Amino acid sequence: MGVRASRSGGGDAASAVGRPPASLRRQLEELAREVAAATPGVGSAACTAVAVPGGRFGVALRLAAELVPLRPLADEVRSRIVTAAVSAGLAEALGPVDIAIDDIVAPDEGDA
Amino acid sequence: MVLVLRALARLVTFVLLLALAVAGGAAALFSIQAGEDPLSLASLAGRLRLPELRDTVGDYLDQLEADGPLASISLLAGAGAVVASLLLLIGALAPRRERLLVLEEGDEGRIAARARPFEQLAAAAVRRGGATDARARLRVQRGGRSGRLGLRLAHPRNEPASALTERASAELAPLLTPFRVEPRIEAKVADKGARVR
Repeated sequence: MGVRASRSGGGDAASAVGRPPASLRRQLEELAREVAAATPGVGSAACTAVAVPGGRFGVALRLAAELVPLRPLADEVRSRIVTAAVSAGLAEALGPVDIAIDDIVAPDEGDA
Repeated sequence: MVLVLRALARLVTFVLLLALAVAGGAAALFSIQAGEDPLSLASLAGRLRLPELRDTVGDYLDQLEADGPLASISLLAGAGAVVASLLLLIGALAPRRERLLVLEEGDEGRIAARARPFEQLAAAAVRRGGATDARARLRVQRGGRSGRLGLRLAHPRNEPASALTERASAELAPLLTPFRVEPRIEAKVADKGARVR
């Protein structure tokens, strides 16, 4: 409980039916969610991106973490998101990254 | 203010539901028989003095139609009831915002944690330190910049509370220090048969 299924998602289905490419906001949302969920120590992640002043998008992540120290985990998630955004050419669009630890899950719970 | 309204709304809800349950039970019970029998609805109305109440209300409504002090008082009471209803609605519908314990807030964003995962981590850390049982309760201060962690732990009978408290503090330090949380540890002897997990 705690972290619900991500609000971002469905990109594959969209491209399969020939819809236009996802918006910048959606791309950032997707990228942040995928990167966060792939970070060791993160059980599951939900993400929302919203426009912030300056033409960028702030990313708000809610994580269900495993039983690991929270501060290093949050730092790692943020660092990976920034790196991934740079690699994807989205660094200019990425605004502040808010991370909220929502719940603690057992390692196998996060995979479910 | 909202906390008081929320508590009041819960109390009123409980009382109204209780009254509804009692009324429903009474109506069901007094539907067993019909006519003027003891367990009929007519009998229930008689026991509750509903005919007298109808006369009283009738008199009141007659007075209300005429100008006079009763009309003014009733108007004020009606306005009061509307205000009370609005306050109860606020208490029932106002969104509950759980305070977050904020670790860092700046241009790069915010790092925060809800109380529950924090409590879970603290309890797990204390168990690692040898407690047979641990319960943690975090109170986040206004603004979310700091908090107070109440920890109740049970220690094995063959181990002094002070030793366990010391170990618990050491286990908690890496978790609490970055979050500026002050622990308050209470230790008690574990129940007979309890083991360290």
